[in-house]
Amino acid sequence: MTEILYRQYVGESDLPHIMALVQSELSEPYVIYTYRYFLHQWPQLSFLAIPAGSSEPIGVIVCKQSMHKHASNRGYIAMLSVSKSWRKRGVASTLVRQSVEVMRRNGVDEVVLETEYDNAPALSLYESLGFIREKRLYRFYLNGKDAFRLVLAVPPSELDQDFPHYMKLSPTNNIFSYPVSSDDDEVSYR
Amino acid sequence: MEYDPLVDLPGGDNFHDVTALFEDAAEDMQPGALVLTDGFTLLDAMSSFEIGEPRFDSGLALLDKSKPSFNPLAPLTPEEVCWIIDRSVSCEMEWHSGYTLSQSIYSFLYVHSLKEIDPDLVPGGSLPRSDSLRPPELITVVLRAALLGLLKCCDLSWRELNKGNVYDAEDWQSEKCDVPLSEALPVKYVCKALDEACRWLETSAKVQQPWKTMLMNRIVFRKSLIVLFETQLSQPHSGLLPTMINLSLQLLQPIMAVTPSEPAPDSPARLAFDPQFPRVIVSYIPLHVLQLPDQAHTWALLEGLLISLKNVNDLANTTDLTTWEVAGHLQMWCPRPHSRLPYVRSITQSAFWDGVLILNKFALKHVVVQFFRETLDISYDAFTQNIIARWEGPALPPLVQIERTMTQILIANIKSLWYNPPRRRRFCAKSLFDWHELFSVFMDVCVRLAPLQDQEKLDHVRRARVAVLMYRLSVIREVILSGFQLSLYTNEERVFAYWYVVQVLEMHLSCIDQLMPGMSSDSNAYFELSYQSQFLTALQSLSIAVFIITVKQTTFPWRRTRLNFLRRYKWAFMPEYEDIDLQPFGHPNFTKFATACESMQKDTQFSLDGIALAIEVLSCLLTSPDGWAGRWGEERKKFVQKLLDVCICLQRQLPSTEQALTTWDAKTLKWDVDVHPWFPIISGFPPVPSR
Repeated sequence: MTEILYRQYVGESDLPHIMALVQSELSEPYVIYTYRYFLHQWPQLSFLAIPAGSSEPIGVIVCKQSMHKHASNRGYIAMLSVSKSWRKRGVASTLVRQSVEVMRRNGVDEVVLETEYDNAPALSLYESLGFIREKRLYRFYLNGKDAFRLVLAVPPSELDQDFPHYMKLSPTNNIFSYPVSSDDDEVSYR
Repeated sequence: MEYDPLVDLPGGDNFHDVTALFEDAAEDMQPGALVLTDGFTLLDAMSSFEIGEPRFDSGLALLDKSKPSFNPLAPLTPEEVCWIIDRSVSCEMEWHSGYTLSQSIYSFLYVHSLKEIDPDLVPGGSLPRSDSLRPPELITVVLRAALLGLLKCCDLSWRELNKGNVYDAEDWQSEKCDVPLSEALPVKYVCKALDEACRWLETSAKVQQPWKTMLMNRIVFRKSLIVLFETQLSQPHSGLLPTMINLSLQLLQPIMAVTPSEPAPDSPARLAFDPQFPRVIVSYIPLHVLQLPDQAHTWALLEGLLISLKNVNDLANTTDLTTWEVAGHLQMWCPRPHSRLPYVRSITQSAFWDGVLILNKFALKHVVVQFFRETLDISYDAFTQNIIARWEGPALPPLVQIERTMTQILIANIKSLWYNPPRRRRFCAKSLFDWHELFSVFMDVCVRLAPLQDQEKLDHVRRARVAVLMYRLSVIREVILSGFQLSLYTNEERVFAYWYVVQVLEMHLSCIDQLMPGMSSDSNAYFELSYQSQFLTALQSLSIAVFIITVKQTTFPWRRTRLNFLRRYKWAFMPEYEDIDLQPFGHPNFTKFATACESMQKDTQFSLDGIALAIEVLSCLLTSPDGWAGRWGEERKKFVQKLLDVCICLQRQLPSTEQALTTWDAKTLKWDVDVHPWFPIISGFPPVPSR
């Protein structure tokens, strides 16, 4: 089986691939600035999955991290997409873990997202990663469907022994830190 | 007037090329760089669009000449007009279901052409040539009247929905996009237009049967709806409402019975609806195109709305608040189809509390008076006199605070029964602090009272305190069980929920045991407590059984389970509780749960006797007195029967020995809210309703 490599978003050159991956899942397209809003402010939280020997990503995760109501450090998974032919190989799971690990190193208390109440594959994926359905959001989507707000309660930061060696930090080189500002932007994303 | 791009370009044609200006400004930027203004939000990003990109630039739709254009005066046959009217009702019911006006009503193009079809404004000679089968009055008189009626009903509904009993952008969508809903037209004007349409249909030789009758049925029905909606809005307790609702229901029947056939593919009637059209309207909400439901579904929804209004009218004439609670819980846990439209839920709340009076006749104190009468079978005065007579505190007893707090909590509790279920759950969780605060005030009061001189008499104040605790425990129970109904729980969380509800029910039953002795045994208060005692005993027994079955089949990643527990029950750990000395009763305890799990998992004694007990108790309950259920007695019994059916099914299918359990597949347990909101069934073996 082809090995899959994971790397962070590097710049605009990744954007067309990300858009193509995400658009294929959605009935309504997102404007390019929606992608840029996340990718330019939180590039370190966005990861791509690329099969070895290829340059075409087959999976992507796009996130943000900010202070929620001045009280908790909250990560938000805005988009997660894996090409149909590359599913069931743990790609989505790995992308989420990668991003959450970066969030954790930046003091995240919780990671949240919304998904349609009947999106069984997504619900199953996130439940296997420890997320719970914190609340149900009535008629959240324009098609009238309810959503679940999923949340992963993140324990206080500890050294993670399973963290890949190439991602470990030296004390003076904190490549993952970025300002976690207060974000009054309460509009939730799909 | 035709748009000429050479002459009519917005802003004229005196343009200058300023590309260089942009190039200068961006000279210091690297490719791929982005400059965001301060406070640039996600909404700002999502609201942007790309000029000329057809998926985002709605203005391009104006230039789309591929579709034949809609001509509001294109001649139509009576059957086509009938079909249009019916489909416009589908649009209306989609809006009532919670979609936006732009997705529904505004896709009906006649809405944007009212002026064009006004017979007083149509210039002479401008009407297209019609034939005898397509008289122009079908549009300018009949369809126009139906359209005005539709818009007026939307306007009246909008005003009810806008009262704030139900939530904009959640239960309903208020955004009008600057399109009028005939707000300025009085109801009388619209009714007159409908009367004129009827008169024309009656007297005109230009329309043959059966269309004459079919069109008249629709016009007369619409008029009845306007009158009904106006009365619901302005006089929600009018004695005329039952007659009005019955009339509308009667008038709906022949309309439901015969549907006009679909127009031919090239019929101009088809052009009357264009779900893409609203892209050109100014809107804050992106347009998500809907497929209108079929006509049968539309009529079922409308009939459901009218029947629900009957139910609301019955409630509005019920002064017993526990009956309101019973009715509210039943429609929450076991809703009838098409019975929970936001319009109906708003009307119900308006009928209960209009901001001034309870049930249009009582001052706020009524809720407190009823609380004492219905829960404890005592007068509110007896309670307050008791406090005043025995008070030994330094200042005056906090009677005003108690009354005010109880009023607020009780009114909010009843109104919120008609929130949407997820919002009701959040409301309940938040209200628990208020209940606890109230309970602690009662505790403080009790401490400052002299002992009763006659020990034989009932201590009303102590009993009131127990009643408040009992209510709080019932709200905790509702928070737990609603988690099942909303499909919130993971497997591990379900085990906890059943265990926890057993603890809460134990405390609740203990409260009932304290209240029942000394109460008059032929009072409704006594019957209701007795009913609850039996129902909650059965609920507890069944919960114990399901806990036992599920705990033995579940492995717990304890670290993650505890983290999730703290998050799931965060309402119990709010810092505000620390401001009150009294520890809250009935809060979840993870350590006790973990201990119980460990013990159950080691226990080789296995018994599902709890199910047998539940069956026995529920069977008796079916013939018990109704307590405060009133008109909802039968419906409540049906709910009991539903629970009984689940018990019987589980008893038949669940393994009955420890040995059988070891080979039993837990995955056969399925939680299906359409079967029961709280308890599982065995997949492949749904409960068979008993005769």
